Order: sequence, then structure tokens, then C-alpha cells
Amino acid sequence: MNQEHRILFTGTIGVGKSTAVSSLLGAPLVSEAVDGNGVPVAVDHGDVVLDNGDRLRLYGTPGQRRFEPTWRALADGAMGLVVLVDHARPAPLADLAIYLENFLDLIARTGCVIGVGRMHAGNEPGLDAFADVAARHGVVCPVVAVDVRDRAQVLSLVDLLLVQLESRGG
Amino acid sequence: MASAASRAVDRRFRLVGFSERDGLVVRSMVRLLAGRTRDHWTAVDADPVHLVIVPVGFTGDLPAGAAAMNVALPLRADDLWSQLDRVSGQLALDEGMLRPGRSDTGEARPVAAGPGRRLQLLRWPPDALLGSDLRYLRLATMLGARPFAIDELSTKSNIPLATCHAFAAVLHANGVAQWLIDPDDPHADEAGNTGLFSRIRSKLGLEGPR
Repeated sequence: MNQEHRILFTGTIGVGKSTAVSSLLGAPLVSEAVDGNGVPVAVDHGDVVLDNGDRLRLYGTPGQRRFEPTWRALADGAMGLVVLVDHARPAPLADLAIYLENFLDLIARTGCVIGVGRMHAGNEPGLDAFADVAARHGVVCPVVAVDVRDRAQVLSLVDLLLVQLESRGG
Repeated sequence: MASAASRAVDRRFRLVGFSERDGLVVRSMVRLLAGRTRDHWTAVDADPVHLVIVPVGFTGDLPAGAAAMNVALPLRADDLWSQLDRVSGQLALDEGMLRPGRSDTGEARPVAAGPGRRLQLLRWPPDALLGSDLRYLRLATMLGARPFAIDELSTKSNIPLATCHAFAAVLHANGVAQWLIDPDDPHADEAGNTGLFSRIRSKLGLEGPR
């Protein structure tokens, strides 16, 4: 029987989760109802059918904290996480902390990449400050700037996630 | 070659794997070099030591936590002098940079760089260390996933051994990585889910598997 494998793209509203997945797959996303503590929540995803028939499903999680039960449902059995941070928001470091805290189990079990979007050279906080936040949560993972509209850059995030998973032996 | 430094440190070494006669020669030669080598070296018969000297080709076990040095026989004073100073330099670097490890768990503990030792990333490196070099980004990502011996890191990343060694030294010198020695590498025989990762890479057009 074919299996479904799941990678999550999470982050605040408007950070570009759906844009990232869509630019990666070159196709619009579809919506699926996911149980969020008894309440169905529409979640966007894009699919890749692998050569053995397995399905890689890339989810953009809903951004707001009230969807935490949905985050947990999606994280259950997921193979990795991409955290997107919007540098243009008022408190991007605090935003990152929220997603690290909520997905800490998934990160410890699999892998994580932090992509910081809308970041311009010389802007503060720099990437090192985001790495500091990750370190305070016990997370050692790549922290890179990203433009989610650029397929190559999004692909690079997935590549780094796979490097981690391969290094850990899956 | 460095001359005797004004801030020389007293160091202890032990010989392993030498015949009594050859051991006598090595000890005598080290004594003769006193005042010229960077540190003051004293031969002892029991641990703890800073350095274990073994003959080239020695295949036995070495005590954990000490640097190891191979010497060829017949002994050459300039080779011995050079090697001792190189060890002194490495020890000075390690002593300045070592961070608390996992010794309390009995699982692993920080040691100096050397054969059979694995590098553990303690936190994601500063952006200035990585620059725009994608090789460094990949190496740091691997080291963040789990500790690696440098030769294994080189093999799995397809990045030259010298580059891996240099990067490891930079990470260590900047305090974002530490050397570990483990009784067993828990990842040594893991094949993992390589089939799945290869299929994903293939479908997305990513290079690999690595």
C-alpha cells in the first residue's frame, strides 16, 4: 500500500507558506479539512507523487495560534518542518519562538529549517539572532534568508531538511 | 619550527607499544629537546597524560582523552621536535575552546581533536563563518543533525577532507562545536530511510543521494 509522507511549512499569516509550496511544485494548492480539536479546519497542501507511488504532501499550516490543535494534528507523523519567519513583522524573534515551542517534539524527532523572509542586508535582527532563539530552545538547525517566491531558494530549504534527515538516518 | 616559548606549559606524556630499548631512546630524545620545544614534556608511566606516543603502525587501543602521536624509528630529532610542537599548539587551542560536554551521562565527553573522535555542533554557526559558501552550509547542517567523524563527514558530504578539517577547526575555535569520543557510534550502521529521501530528491530535481 502506498504511503503518505508529510513536510510542514509553518509561520505567521502572510509569511508565504502557500507561496513557498506553490512555487516549489509549480502548481496551485488544494484545501483539505483537518481536524482541529473537533473542528474541521481548511489546510492548504500540494502533492508530489514519488516513483514508487508514495505521496509527498507539503502542507502550509494555518498561521494563527488558535489553530494550535491543528498544528499538533499535522505534526503527528510528519517527516520534517520548515519554519518561515517574516522579518518585516514587529517581533520576528518572538514569532519564531512561538513556532519552535509548538513544534518542538516534531523538530526533536525529525528535522527543521528556519527560513527568514523579507530580510534585507544590514537589517536587524540578523540571522545570528534567530539562531540564538533556536539555541535557547535547544534547536540546532539551519537558519537562512529566503525569498519564498524563488523556487530555487525554497528547494534549498527542502534540500537542507533532507540533509538533516539523511544524516540522522531517517 | 617554534623555539622554546616563554609561556611553556608542563606536559606529561606516556609511551605505548615501544620495546624497552626504543622507549629509552624516545624518552632520551625528548629530554634532549627540553628548552627547545614549545612546552616542557615529562615522561610518566601512568595516566592522566596529555600525550601518548606510539610507534608508526601501532594498532592497539589508546587511552581516551589524550592526544596521540606516531613516531617513526629510527628517530629523528627534528621530526620529534616538530610533532611535539604541533601537539602543543593543538592542546593550547583545545584547552581554550573546550565546552562542557556530556560526561555526566557517561555517553560522551569533550576531548581534543584526533582519530576516532566526532565533532558535535553546539549551536548554528554565526553567519560570518558560513558566508555564502554552500559547502559550509551543508557541513553545518550535517553536524547539527548529529556528531560526525571528519572522514565520515567528508565521505557523506562529498566535500574534500581538507575542507572538512579546516571547517571543523573554525567551528571549534569559535566555540560552536566540540569534539566527542563515544564508546560506540550509534549511527555507524544506520541505513535509514535513504530510499524515500532519494525518491524525493529525484522528484524535486535535487542532487543526491549524498
